[in-house]
Amino acid sequence: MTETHEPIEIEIPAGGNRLGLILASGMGIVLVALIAVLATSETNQGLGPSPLITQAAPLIAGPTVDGEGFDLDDHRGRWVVVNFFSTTCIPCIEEHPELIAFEEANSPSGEAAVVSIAFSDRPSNVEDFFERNGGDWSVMVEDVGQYAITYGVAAVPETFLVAPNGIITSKFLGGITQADIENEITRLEGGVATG
Amino acid sequence: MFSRKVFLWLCLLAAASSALVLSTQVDGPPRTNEDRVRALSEDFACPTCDGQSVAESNAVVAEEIRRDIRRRVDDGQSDLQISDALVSAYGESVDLRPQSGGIVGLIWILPVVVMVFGFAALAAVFQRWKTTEAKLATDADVALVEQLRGRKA
Repeated sequence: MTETHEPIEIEIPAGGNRLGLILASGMGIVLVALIAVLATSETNQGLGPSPLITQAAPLIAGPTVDGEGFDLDDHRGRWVVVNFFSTTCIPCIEEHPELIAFEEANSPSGEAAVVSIAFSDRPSNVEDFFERNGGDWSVMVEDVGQYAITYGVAAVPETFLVAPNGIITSKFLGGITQADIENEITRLEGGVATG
Repeated sequence: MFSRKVFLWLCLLAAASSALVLSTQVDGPPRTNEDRVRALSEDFACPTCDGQSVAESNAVVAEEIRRDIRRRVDDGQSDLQISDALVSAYGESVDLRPQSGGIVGLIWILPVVVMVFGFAALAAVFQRWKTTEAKLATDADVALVEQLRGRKA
């Protein structure tokens, strides 16, 4: 014997469409917010994070291009700008006059010193670069890969500010200006940066 | 002393634990410096690349990190010393190895916990089967069954 069944009526909840609308709207809002966050996020410029900030600056000691040698420990008592650069990177070329201006304004008084470390570059290129663009401070190029890695350098230019007590206080990503460094020093010394 | 069944259970537990430990050691430690450099390079992410390890990337920084690892290995530094140096310079984000602590550490602990609880649960169930006495029907049960049979007939 075959049994017959009544057709089954499936009741669709009245709120079904509304729920879908709410979900779709929610996802849309999240998507728009995500696009807005990505569009307005800062580029790799300015002060950046580093596990080394507040830590003692790792050792930098070795021969310089001019043959005089450099030892970071010899510069305790003054601010030291440790600049990682490359002769072929555009932001490095652009920031070079700013470094010259900073060095000329702060080095003679003994308040600050600059050391440049050429990242994955050739000594001849570095010599040519300084001859062409100027700059009179310690520059290291040979066997310096270890310093770049110890300082966590990912892409040049990157610049670290070492306080007179030998502690790393700041890391700058990308090209910097004289004002960037001076304002940061002023801020760290408890003054007010001029902007 | 232990009964035969308990002894067998202990043997099973020992075999399972040994297999678990051996499975993590099956490759053995890398022997040559070259092996160590390669293994360490695979453990760290290239800081400027998306989803590539230092071993895979041709970026300048990846090449420098490989060179730095090579130098440290040749200097006789341990894997732990090299890993610590890279993490302290670049941060935890470059470390591709599964973390042993925090929430991620549960990945390592969870299977062991589940196994222990599984064994405990099995032991409890087997013990219950063993100790459950056979229940005999009472006179009232028999009468009830008879009554129902009579009603059905």
